[in-house]
Amino acid sequence: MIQMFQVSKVYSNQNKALDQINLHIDKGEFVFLVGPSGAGKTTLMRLIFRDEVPSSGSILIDGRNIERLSAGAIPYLRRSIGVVFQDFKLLQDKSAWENVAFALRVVEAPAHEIEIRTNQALDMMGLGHKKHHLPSELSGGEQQRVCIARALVNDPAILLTDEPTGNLDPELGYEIMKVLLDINSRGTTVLVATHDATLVNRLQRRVLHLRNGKIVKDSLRGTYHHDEI
Amino acid sequence: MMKFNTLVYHFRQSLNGFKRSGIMAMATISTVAASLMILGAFLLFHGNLNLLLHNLQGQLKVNFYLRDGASEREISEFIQGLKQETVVRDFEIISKADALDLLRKDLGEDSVLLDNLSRNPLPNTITVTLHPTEEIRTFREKYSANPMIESSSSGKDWVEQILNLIHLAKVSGTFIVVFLGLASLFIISNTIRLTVFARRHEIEIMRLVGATNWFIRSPFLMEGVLQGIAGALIATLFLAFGYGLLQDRLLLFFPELKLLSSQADLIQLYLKLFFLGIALGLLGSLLSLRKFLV
Ligand SMILES: Nc1ncnc2c1ncn2[C@@H]1O[C@H](COP(=O)(O)OP(=O)(O)O)[C@@H](O)[C@H]1O
Ligand SMILES: [Mg+2]
Repeated sequence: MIQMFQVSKVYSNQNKALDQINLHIDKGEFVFLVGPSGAGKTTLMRLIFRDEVPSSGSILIDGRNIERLSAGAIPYLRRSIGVVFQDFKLLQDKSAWENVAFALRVVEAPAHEIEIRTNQALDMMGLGHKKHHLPSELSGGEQQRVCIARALVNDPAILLTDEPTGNLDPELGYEIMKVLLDINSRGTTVLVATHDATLVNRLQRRVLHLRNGKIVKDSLRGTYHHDEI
Repeated sequence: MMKFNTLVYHFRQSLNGFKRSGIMAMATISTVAASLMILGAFLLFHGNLNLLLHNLQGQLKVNFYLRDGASEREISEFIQGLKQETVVRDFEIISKADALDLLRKDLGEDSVLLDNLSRNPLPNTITVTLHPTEEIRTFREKYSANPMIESSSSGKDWVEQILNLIHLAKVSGTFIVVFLGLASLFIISNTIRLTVFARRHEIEIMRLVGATNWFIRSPFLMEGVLQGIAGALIATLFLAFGYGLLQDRLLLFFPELKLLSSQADLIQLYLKLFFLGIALGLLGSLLSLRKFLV
């Protein structure tokens, strides 16, 4: 589903964010992407949905080489990938419902489908009763779930979540993880960037360990300790 | 093809854009309206001058007076040249003798004065009638340069005055219209830029969740077009009213004046302004989007 060959990313200020990354993630996998702040987790995700292009190497999504994608084809790649951003990126002047529906509107879904699918996604995140609230009237965990609902509403093949438990207390973090596992069990490939060792160790899933832009460890049923390596 | 409810969605977004940038939007519409109004006034003025020119049909004459020594060959070459000109409607060659006869007829009883002449003082003359054109002076200068031509004259002085006026109106009109058009483009693109800025978070998210570039641009293009249309409507309203008033006044003082007044001509002119408004709106918003959304 996601393949990278010798991928490096150097930002314009000569920051080397990723260095010769090779990886292969199968359809339906659940993968943690761990590493300290600045390791390159966010960059790796942005390369997958082509928010950035690699400086060298190639990336295949579902067998398609995405750097050769024409400008007109990029939106369609993004529709197959749901993204939960580290900083949420919710529209502050729109309700939870409108924020989720937004992702369907802009891909020109029919009105009745927008109605049904938005309600489904919010119900699945346990937010059915708060759908008319503005983001500012929701807690951090609730905003996080609105983001997940928005990422899922288009039924993507891949879900990328960047630090989804970053600013939540451990119990809420665990709740979010259960939701992500649930989504994964329905066939969606899920990639979770995090530096929350407790959660990673509790769930025992595949762990890709990044440090200074390199994959230093890739283990199935892995664990993560901050002082590793 | 864009779906209908998408269109409605964009339309609502662009109306919101209008509201959000309220005063700027008003300023934009006023500028567009003013520009189109001035352009329209020029077009009306120009149309009326052309009408006047058209009514001069048959009155545009140039007389070329030939030197006495001019040879047959020189004359036939000159005429050959005239036949090539598209502005020439027809021409007539009046020989010295014919000219004298004409003069005799004109003088009537006084023609006895001519009896004492030892030789015919009148030149051979070629009289050219032109189709309505602004080029009368150029035409006259071009053919007067021929060494066989002693001198030339053209019908009436006021004809040339009007022709000069038409020429001036065209040149200065073009300048002013181009300048105002650019000003309108500039202000439209600036207003749209404000809307784009106000909605930058929304645009970013649209991009990230897979909206196509055209989908993202549509509401802004629509906003520009709406501003263009609003400007054009205001301009047309003012012009139609103002021109009607002016027409009445002028006809009061110069009842025999022929003014551009056919409904078809006027509607065509207003339609031109309308489409120009739309074009300005589209182009203006495309200009601002080029910088923001690539
Ligand atoms: N847009 C950018 N421009 C320049 N440097 C960047 C940019 N984004 C990230 N970086 C740099 O790339 C490296 C990796 O960053 P990032 O991918 O955000 O890591 P993580 O998400 O693991 O914290 C860091 O050194 C960071 O400063
Ligand atoms: Mg990050």
